[in-house]
Amino acid sequence: MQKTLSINEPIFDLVSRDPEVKDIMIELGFQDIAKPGMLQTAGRFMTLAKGIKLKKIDIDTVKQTFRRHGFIIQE
Amino acid sequence: MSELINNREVHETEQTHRQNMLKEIIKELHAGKSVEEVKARFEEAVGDVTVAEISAMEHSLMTEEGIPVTEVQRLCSVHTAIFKGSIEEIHRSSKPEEQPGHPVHTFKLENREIEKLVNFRVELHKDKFRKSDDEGIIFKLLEDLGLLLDIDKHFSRKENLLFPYLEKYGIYGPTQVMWGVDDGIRSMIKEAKALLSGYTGNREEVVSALELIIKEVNEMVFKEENILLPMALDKLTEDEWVKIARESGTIGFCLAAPEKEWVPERNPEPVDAEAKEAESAGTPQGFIRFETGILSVQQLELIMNHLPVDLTFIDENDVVRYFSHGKERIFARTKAVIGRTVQNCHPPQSVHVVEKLLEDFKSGNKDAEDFWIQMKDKFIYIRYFAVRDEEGRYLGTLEFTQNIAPIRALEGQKRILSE
Repeated sequence: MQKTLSINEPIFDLVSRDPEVKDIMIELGFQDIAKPGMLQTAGRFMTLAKGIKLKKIDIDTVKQTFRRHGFIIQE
Repeated sequence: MSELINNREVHETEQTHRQNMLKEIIKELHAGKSVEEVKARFEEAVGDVTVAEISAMEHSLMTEEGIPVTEVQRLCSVHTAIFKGSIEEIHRSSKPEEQPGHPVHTFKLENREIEKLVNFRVELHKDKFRKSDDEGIIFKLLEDLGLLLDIDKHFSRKENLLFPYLEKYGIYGPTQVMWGVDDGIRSMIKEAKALLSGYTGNREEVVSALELIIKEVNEMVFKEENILLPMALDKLTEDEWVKIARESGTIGFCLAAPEKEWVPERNPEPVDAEAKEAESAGTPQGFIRFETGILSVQQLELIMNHLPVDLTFIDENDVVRYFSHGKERIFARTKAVIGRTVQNCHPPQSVHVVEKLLEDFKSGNKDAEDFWIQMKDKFIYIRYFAVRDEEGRYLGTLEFTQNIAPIRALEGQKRILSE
């Protein structure tokens, strides 16, 4: 099944809808999301777009990884 | 929403027509019509009214018409659809954080200067240094890093003034993580300075140290402005921002300072009243009877502040209860630490030391512990004492900090009759 994600939606919302997103993000190198309390607080303000910019992770890599897990990323 | 519009009067006659239309729209939404369908009517009803007016109307819909908050919230989503702004944007008549002197404004002002320093000066000097590592350029880089060390004040205000409020709202994780990164940046700058002042031709090492600083500082600016500050704006009340603004001067500013004192648009009285209350509470008329004498509260406070040492007391639950505030405190303390647990007042890297010490005090393993450090021309003697009652029950810990350099320098003798 295809699932879609928006890069401008708070990470907290993405993960609440689908907990799998958290593991995929950790796999991509967004380690901070795993730290206690991060998701519930900073995660409400953090979006995938901001994370990609901050960590300087290639957006295509992010898209491909999510696609592999059955997601599609909207810009 | 209602708390944002506490002091606005509604002119009923002018509003009645609009209110009726809004009520109609709410009913239609309730009946299942989509936002798209009511959009045109909403625009007609709202037209070019100010945000304040919308808020006032919503408020009166709730209080006078008894329309439930959830229904009014539906209207908010219509605002959003029409104005293409967030609900917060719509409901904040003006943004206090964009006014000079507001702590967020000051943090951002400093960030612009920090960015200029690392992205232009340090970057430029680093490139020059890579080409030719002569003394002139080393001196320039040392100067830049000296300026950048000022970032300590920016970080300290964040850690000691802003974090306590976030903790009050249950936000611990991100603040601890960020504090750790702040400390990392502090030591990176110091290490780069050390590399340059004792330069031995290790050019690549210096370049990569500088590059790391530039990267980390930029990332921190991004995190502050995209996560930390929006989160803080979401949680803190205006009164809390006023308190932070007032205490900021104690710690100081980095590369830029607020151009004026921030006075919130709304009546700033609540804080004033509170401050007055606190002030009068500081000098009550009462007396305290000790086993060995009686002192007025004023005398007691003055005595504490005249002791040539800095005292801080935490209670049996590790909560900071008191600190003396003599003329020259060695380690800055701000009133924001009062009521905060001591674990949250220490950089994460040294927390385990503090916890071990408290554990030993509580278990009765130890009654005191001393540390001493050289800090520029000061020799600082830091002593911790477990405070126990007659039965030996642990009631807290007293921190006693003193610059003993002048004492260590004493020689020979000076007797009262010497002169």
